[in-house]
Amino acid sequence: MGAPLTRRTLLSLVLTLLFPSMAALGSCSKEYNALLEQLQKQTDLMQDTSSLLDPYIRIQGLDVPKLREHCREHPGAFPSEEDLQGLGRRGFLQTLNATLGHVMQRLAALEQQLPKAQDLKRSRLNTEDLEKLQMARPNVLGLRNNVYCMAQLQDISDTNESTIVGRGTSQLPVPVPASDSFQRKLEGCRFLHGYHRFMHSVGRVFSKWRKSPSRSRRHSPRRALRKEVRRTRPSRRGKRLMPKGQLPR
Amino acid sequence: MALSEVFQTTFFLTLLSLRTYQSEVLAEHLPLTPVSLNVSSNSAHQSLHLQWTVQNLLYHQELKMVFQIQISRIETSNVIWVGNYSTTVKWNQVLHWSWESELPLECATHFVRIKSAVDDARFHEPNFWSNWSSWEEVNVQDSLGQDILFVFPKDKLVEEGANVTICYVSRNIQNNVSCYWEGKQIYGEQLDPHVSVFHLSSVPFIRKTGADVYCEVSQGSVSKGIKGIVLFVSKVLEEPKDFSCETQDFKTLHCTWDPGVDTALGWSKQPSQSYTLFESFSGEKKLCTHKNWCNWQITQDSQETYNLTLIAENYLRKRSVNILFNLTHRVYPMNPFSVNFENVNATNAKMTWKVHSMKKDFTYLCQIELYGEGKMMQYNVSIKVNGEYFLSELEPATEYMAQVRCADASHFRKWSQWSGQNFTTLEAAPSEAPDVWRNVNSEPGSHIVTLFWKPLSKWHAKGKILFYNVVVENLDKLSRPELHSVPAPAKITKLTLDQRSYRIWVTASNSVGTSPASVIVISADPENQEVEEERIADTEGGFSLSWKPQPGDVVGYVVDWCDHPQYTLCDLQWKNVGPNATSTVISTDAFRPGVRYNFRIYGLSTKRIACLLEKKTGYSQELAPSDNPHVLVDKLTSHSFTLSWKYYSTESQPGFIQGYHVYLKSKARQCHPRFEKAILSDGSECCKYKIDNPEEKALIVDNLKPKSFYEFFVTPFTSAGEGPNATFTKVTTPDEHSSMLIYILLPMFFCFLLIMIVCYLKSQWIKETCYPDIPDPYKSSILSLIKFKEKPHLTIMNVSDCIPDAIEVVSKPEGTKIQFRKSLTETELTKPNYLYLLPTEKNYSGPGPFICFENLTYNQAASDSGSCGHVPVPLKLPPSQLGLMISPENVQKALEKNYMNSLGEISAGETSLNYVSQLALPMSGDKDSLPTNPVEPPHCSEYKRQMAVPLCLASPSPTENTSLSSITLLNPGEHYH
Repeated sequence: MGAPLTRRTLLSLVLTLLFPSMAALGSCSKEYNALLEQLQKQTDLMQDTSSLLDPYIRIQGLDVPKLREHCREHPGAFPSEEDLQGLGRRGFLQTLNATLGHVMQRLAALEQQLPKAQDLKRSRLNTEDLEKLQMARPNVLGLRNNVYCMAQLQDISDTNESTIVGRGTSQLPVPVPASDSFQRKLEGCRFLHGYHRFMHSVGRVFSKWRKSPSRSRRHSPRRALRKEVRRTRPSRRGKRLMPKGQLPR
Repeated sequence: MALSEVFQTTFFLTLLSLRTYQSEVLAEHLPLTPVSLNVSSNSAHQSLHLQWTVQNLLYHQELKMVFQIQISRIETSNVIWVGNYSTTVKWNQVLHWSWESELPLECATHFVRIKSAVDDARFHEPNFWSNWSSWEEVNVQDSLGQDILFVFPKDKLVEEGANVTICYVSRNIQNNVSCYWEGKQIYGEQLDPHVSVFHLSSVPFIRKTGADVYCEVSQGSVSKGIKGIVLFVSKVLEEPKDFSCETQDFKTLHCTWDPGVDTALGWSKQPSQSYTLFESFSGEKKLCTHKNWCNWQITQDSQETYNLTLIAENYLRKRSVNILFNLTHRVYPMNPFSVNFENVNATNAKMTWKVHSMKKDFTYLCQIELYGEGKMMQYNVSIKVNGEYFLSELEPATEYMAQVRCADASHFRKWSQWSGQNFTTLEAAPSEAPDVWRNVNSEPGSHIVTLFWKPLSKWHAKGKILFYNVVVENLDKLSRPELHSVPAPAKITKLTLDQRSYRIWVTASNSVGTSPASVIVISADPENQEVEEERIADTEGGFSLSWKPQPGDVVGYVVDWCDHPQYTLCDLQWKNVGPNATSTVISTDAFRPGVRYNFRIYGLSTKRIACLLEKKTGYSQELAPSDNPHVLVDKLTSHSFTLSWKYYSTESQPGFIQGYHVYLKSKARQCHPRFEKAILSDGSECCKYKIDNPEEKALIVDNLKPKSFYEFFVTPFTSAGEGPNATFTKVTTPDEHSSMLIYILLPMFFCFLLIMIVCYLKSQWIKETCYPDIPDPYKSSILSLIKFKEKPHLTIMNVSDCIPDAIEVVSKPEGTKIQFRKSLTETELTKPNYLYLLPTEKNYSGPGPFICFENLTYNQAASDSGSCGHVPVPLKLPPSQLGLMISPENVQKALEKNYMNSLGEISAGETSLNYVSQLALPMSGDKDSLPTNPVEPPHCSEYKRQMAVPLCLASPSPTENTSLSSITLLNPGEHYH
């Protein structure tokens, strides 16, 4: 009796460590299908280049054919779809969460390169693209929240399952020197291109989940245990970033 | 003590003169050469930084020197810049100097050398230059790395309109390199096989994230990579506009300006320009945190004059503006506060307010604006701290808005913002009597008086009118006046008065008091309605009415009318006109085209009795008739018909009906007299007749052709045109002869009727004349004759004496009858159907009676069948008689003539008659077989009818039959009785 309890506790701890920020987001939806549908909607939104890449290209002045040709994802910057399909659910969610974490950092760095919206307004320039770019991070945060919730719903017993979290995210391009803005522009473009492709692949994985039966165990003892463990942590509810189930737009 | 001071001074002067001498000697004899030249490069700023020292300077020696610097590019002989640098050089001092290259340093090797000369006034001899230092080489390319292509300068920040030189370094000269500026290819010059240079002139601002210059390396058509730079082009920093400072409390100066364009760039290459305030008198400086305003703390040291400089600055440029002002002239007072109104009554109020205290003896000029009744009044007042103003001549019961603002009375600069408040004055008694009018309807024994009044204007009401008092006083009979109180907002009341004179007072009351009374008198006499109505034409802007002045004293005239005469509640309006006026113009927006307005003009006597003077009627705009009359066609003959529309109302039309147009269409091309040709809207032709009298509502259309087709259409017309188009009504004139036929047939009918009546009245006579009674043989004189001659065998045949040879049972069923009749007919021979009663005397020679009995029924049936079955067989008679009898045609003709014609044709005076007996048919249903098988008449048969046959047709010659006795003539083979 004591062995399973220890195993569950460890699993909860692993989950908590995997999704540290998500733990602060409060309770998750318990409806597997609703959550999966929401995840798909989010990936659909995020794979759309008009939400991020296109505004970035316009803002940076890269919307000329010669430069767009070179705005291609660095091979290996993001896990390929094949890699993702080959992962188990646990590995997939871990990979996704880790990659999104890195994406958040890169997006924050990209935002620093952009002009300030108030400066644009003062110069009577269009701020629509800038506002779209500024919505990217909340969108990723919302997706991570739901990934965390999905992980909670899943019965992740195979802890030995291989992941590509380290490989995929560690190969994200290293930022170029600050003096070479042109190269940084292109790198940003390539990164966003890869990001959209990655989200497309993620969406396809989720779509396969819809076809396969749910592994949700809403009332499993493990879930109860996880909740028990989470209750022992100091509450960060006050720092909640996204309301439950809300899709950032 | 004094001695020691003198000693010290002498010592220092001696030392100083000794050092000066030593310097001069050294300068003259030792070369001051720049040494230790060190050149470094700054790629970001594209600058070369030189450091050197001057050799042979004495300790603490200071000399003004000039250094000449040469810079070569690519090779030492290619000197691209030569310049002098003057400075004071100290002993052992490391000198610094920078040079900015337009070409990125990475694109070419640079060489620098330097020489110096003394440029000090203490040396009177001509300067001479030292030797050049050795060339110092600056080669940045070596540190670039192993990439195939480099583009420079990286992330250069320039101002809009600057000229920029760009270069690339290609490692492999076999590669093809194409460069682009914002997507557009640019072409440069080649510095060496690896380096090309591009000059961009007057670069524009493209975007805040920088403009891209990039070069693509390719071998053949294969792209091997792309490298580029971002050129950060900043907008030119503008000078701040509208820089001004003011104080509201003598503690803080609030300075504002218009910053112009923001020069911030993305990638943190340049923040927004900064703003700094600098005050020159105090030497204080303040970095402003906002883009367009900044507060400067006023020191309390009674500084009155300020010289403030606003400095705008970015990485590329600095701009400044300056203002010099006296603080007391820059006062912008704070808004007044605590605005209140005291002692508010119907026409006055006291306004009070407060202002913020500035400093001692500070005087405010305050401006008050009072809004009310659509007007604005303005007042100015000077105050210290507490302000008040007495507002007078206000309107009662009126809401006002008063606001106040203040400024420095001593040095007016700017008004403060407004501070305001609303207030309402109290009510006062109405100042004006209501405008009252009346309408009187006389009924048997009473007057129905409807009183109308107009609401008092706000100006006159001076408050909210609560009710109207109507006091009715009988002028013919001493009685107590009646009071009727009508609550507002009623504008009408109805009184039923007997036929006496009454005086009516109408007053309006509000919460404070009552208005003066409006008086009107209702006369006991009924209103004169016999006034003739006059038509008026509308004029532009209204109806122009004029009237004859009323004889006697009048206090005025009243014109009344209805704004909506078409409705039951016609909205009676009236206009008061002065006693001297005889005309007025009635104009209102309520007038509508096509509506007939009736105006009544009354004169008001001094006794306030209204007397109807004139009636006018008219249209503000006449319209064409809205409908056409319903036309009846009357008196239709073959040559004319009458059209009539007597029920058409001309009063309810949207214009004065001036007459009618009668349109007539016919096949004839020519119009009838009085008609004229007209062309209809559809282009067809017709004839038109115009009736100019609107009351003439009939027309006789004559001179028409019989049996012809006509179409007509009647439409009224006003000054605005005809009535609406409608379909033509069709009329066809009757045939001429048909009427004549009626003229003939009718008299004939009456004649015939007359004759019939006469005949009926004279029927007895006619009967006696035309149809005398058949004589009874038993009563006949022939019997006496027989008796007289005593011939017993000659007797009258008695039916009872007959021996029948056949029996007909009438009551037998039809089938039986037929059988029976067959048996009977089988035994029959062809026999005549006639029995001739002949005289018995053989010698009878005279024209005795010849009696023939005919079976009429049979004969009729035969006749109907068209056969000649009743034709008798030839008799054995004298030819003279037989000839008559044999001929069947003669017999038939005779018979027909007898049947068809009246018996009157037979001469009443004829003495010889043939009696034709009718034999009853055994069966009436076998008529068809009768002609072929005539039934032999029974011996004893019933005589159904007897007819007289003219003798001329039936009687044989008596002389030839004298031998015959009384026999019945039968066919041969027939037995006799």
